[in-house]
Amino acid sequence: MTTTTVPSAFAPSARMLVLLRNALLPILLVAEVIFFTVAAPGFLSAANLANVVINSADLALLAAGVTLVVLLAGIDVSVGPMLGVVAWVGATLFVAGMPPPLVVVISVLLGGALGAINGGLVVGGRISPIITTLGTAAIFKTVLFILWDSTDVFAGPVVPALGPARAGGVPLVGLVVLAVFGVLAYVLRHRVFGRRLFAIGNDAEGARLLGVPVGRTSFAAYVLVGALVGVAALIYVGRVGVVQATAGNELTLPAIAAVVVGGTSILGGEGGVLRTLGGLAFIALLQNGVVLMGVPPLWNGVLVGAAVALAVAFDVLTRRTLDKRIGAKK
Amino acid sequence: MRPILSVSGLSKSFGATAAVTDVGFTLGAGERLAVLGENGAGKSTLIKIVAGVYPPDGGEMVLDGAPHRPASPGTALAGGVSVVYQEPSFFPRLSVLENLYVGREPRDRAGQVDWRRMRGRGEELFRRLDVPVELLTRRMDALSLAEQQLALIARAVDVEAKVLILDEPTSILTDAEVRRLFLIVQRLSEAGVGVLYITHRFEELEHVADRFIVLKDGRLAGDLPASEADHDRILEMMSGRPVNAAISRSPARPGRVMLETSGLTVPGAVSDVDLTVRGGEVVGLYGLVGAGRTELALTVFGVLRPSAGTMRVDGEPHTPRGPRDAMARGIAYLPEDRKTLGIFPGMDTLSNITAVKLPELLGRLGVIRRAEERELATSWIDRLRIKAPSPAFPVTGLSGGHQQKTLFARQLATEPKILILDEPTRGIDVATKTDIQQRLVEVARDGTAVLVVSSDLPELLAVSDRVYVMREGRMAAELSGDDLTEDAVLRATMGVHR
Amino acid sequence: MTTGALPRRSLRDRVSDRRVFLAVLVVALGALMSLLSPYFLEVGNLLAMTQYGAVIGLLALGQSLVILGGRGGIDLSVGSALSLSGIVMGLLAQNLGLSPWLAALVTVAFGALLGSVNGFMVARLGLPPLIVTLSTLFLYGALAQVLTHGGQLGGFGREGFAALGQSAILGVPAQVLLVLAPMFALAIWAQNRTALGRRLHQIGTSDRAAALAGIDVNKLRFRLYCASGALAALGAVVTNAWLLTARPSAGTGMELQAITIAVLGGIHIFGGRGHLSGVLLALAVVVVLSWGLQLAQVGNSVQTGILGLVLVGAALLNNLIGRRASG
Repeated sequence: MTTTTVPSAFAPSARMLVLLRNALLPILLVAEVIFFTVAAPGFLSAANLANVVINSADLALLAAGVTLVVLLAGIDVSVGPMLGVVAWVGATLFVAGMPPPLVVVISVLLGGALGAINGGLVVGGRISPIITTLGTAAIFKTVLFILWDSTDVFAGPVVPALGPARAGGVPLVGLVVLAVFGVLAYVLRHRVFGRRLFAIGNDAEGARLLGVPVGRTSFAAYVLVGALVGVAALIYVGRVGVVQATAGNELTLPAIAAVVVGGTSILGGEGGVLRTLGGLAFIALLQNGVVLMGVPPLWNGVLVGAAVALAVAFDVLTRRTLDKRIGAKK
Repeated sequence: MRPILSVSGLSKSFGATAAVTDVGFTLGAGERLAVLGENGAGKSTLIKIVAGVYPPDGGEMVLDGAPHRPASPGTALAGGVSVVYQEPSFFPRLSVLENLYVGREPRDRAGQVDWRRMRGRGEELFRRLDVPVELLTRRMDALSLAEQQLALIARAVDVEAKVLILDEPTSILTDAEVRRLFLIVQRLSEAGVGVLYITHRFEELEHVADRFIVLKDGRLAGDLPASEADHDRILEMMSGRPVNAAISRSPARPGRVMLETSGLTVPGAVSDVDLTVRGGEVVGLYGLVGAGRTELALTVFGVLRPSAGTMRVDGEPHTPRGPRDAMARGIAYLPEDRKTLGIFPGMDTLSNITAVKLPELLGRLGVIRRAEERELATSWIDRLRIKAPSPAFPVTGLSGGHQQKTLFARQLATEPKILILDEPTRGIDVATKTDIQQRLVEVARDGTAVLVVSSDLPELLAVSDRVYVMREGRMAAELSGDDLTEDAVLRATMGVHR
Repeated sequence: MTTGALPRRSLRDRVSDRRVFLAVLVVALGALMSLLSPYFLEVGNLLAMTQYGAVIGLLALGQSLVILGGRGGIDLSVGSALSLSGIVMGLLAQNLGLSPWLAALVTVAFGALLGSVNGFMVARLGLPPLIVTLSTLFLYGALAQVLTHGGQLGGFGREGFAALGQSAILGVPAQVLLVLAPMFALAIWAQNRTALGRRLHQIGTSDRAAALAGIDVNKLRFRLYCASGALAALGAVVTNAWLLTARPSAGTGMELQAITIAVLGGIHIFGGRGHLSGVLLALAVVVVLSWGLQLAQVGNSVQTGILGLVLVGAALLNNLIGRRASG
């Protein structure tokens, strides 16, 4: 429908509204921290926060990967089961005595290869991402089940940086996560590959007409998701210490939730990894705070599910209202 | 003149259908070449071959002395072929600046995207084209249609193009913007760029073309200098038979006032508008894009809510809560954007025609009386000469003009008392256009109150008994009889008073 | 502008092609299975086969309706809705001592309520269906666990309720004859013959055009999610009558099967296109396949993966057919 043109005399005020819109998530985060600091003793201690970081580092990398494909207007619901497969292979190789650096390399390559399956089906097979990754999620689950073969694999951290080790109270894996997010944020803003993701997520056909290699870029994004899952899988092994038949399955939803709560548009082409980091912090702190408040663990799923739904509803609705105001003032 | 692009023996088929057959022409450096032809004549296919979207089945292209065989739109663009497509294609959730440089972001030595240089180039470009620089930071989807189109033209112009292709760029531009565009084309041509310009508007020819070619059924039907551009002759080439473009319009015998608004106000779009439409007359509604015409129509149809003022339908107060209330009062509305607001793409022609009429074709339990429905659809296919092999033919298989006729049939089938048509002939071929214009006059003469919103001034002057002109949300003029002239309408549009 | 490339065959021909293909596939798979296992064609096995299909058939029907409704419509929460509804029915029948028949009725209404939560967030608030139903998948599944503390419930083996899940009429299992068949018959009839079916396709292919044609798009879409929830609850009722226990994980992973069947049946993932009769045939294919694998002693966990392969294969097939028809 036609948008109306009105002279842009109110531009500064519109800019204020845009600022407000972008500040929503930080405001929510601060409110959350204040709430739990009051309600849950011990929440705001260095030890607890370090725990939160260690416990959500693998999830953070999955969420970073999912962000990339959501920016493309895609989705990947196979990251959890994919992590399970890579975790099993990594842990098994490590236990068999393979040198740790080699285990890391193989895990990343394997993750990339599994991501390439998704990318190949989405790009080459032109199957919608949700269908593709629902299908491969099921396949990965079965692959893990067959590999597992009724035997749990017990393993410690492959390298110290991918385990619960701390240096001066700072968890090393937190530094790994920060480094990954920093690099991805740089790539999305300052590298051509990143700009292409945004363009494709907005209008793939239009991007193609302007010479953007849509297929190649999308494929690369899915492979990159896989590689991130590869690293996350080893962090998972370091954190949990054992790979079971359904390893990783529970991580898919929180990873997507972090992306969406962070405010990356599910329509594609808008958002970024730093927003995802914010969304992840929101969810991780919520889970942690709730446990500290003494709520039984069974309720965890209920609260997180509800929190995600509410956060998304709140975010979308507030932004829509603000957008309308911005539109009217334009 | 040095040839910049020459094409010979170009052919392209889709399955069994030949879209372009053995087409050849030469475009000189600095030449402006108009490409004419009905919808389906192969114009868009021809462009897309040159732009690298489709590989040709046969034929040669030479760009600036070198063979031109683009493997993709990207390589064509890199080779100097820049295109503004008819369907605006842009990136809604990116800023205008980012839109300008998608696929060709300026980079520094380290290969990083150079945002400062991008910004500088964008500002310089917009200043050069006289487009407000502050648009650059806006999100593309926050712009009006015309502003979006301007940004897209700016993007195409900014490429170091040897050949610039414009596919019906003016269909959503206002007159002032169209003039700005003509100026841009002029300057580019002086700088040695070859311009291919596709249009349905004859009145533009003298401004944008030194020469024109006509396509018919995928073949070249004519290649003439603009000085010989005689409208009747072009029409004859396009259709292959002499066409009387003028429609016949018997004098109106206006009946009761069917639609009346008074002091109607919609925040941000329409202010204090009075309008009446009588049964039996065609009333035109003209104005620049963004003048509030569509919003006015949508308010009458119940989509938008007025904040002040009243509406009356057939003398009774009209306060619709949605389109259904408006339909119940006998109002039909043909929306401006066929693709997104009109057709149901996955469905057949039959159910597209009967979509609004459906409630009257139901038996018990909401069961559709199928024989009756089919009969109704078939009769409209015949009456409007919709080119569909059968009522069960998928609507997306019809040409654009016939899709529009299908939508026209959908509204007419409800036998409305008030028919509102929003840009009823935008982007469709001349023959179908004339057909639809003739029909809408006939519908009015049968007693319906017809309100036509159009940016096509010759069309409005041809079909309307009276014309309202809107400007910045307000009613600027009401013209009829001897006062209804092109000059008067344009003056009112621009706010120029004698 | 449309190029002159008109498809030779009408849309209807194309769709019926898909159904012919599925029918041939059912027969071929059946023949293959009976060759591989002498037990396959025994009447008792055929029965057990359809018993299994009744539950996922109901979920697939709801899923298809939601997908047909367009705008990225999908219901990932059907499995969890089934689990939670089953538990609620257990609470009613066991803890409150309600008649299982009455509990079943209340449960279906409860399922519609669960669906209405999705419907409200998608249709009224305009949130993306993928995210909405992903979070209710999580929410409903977790609620089912919370309500039972991970245990299971019963109380269904009274007042002849078990007959709904364990008896056969004229050799056809009761849940197929009395629940699945009528539901599909009604849905297929409504899709082809009624205004409701037409409107479903209209909102599915272009909801803005549908709104201008006077359809209350949001209301219809809201109802589709309610229907999906109610059908999931009906699936829970049938499951409880069949197994006589309600487990909080009863529906886990069933959303995958439901989506697989819908897509295999030719329902276009972007809405508005596809036939429910195709979904019924796809259900037959999946049931025959699952049963055959069961006989071949392939475990459930492996079946999940095979189903994943079928889903991806079906989607590839959809694209191949679509491309051939349009190219």
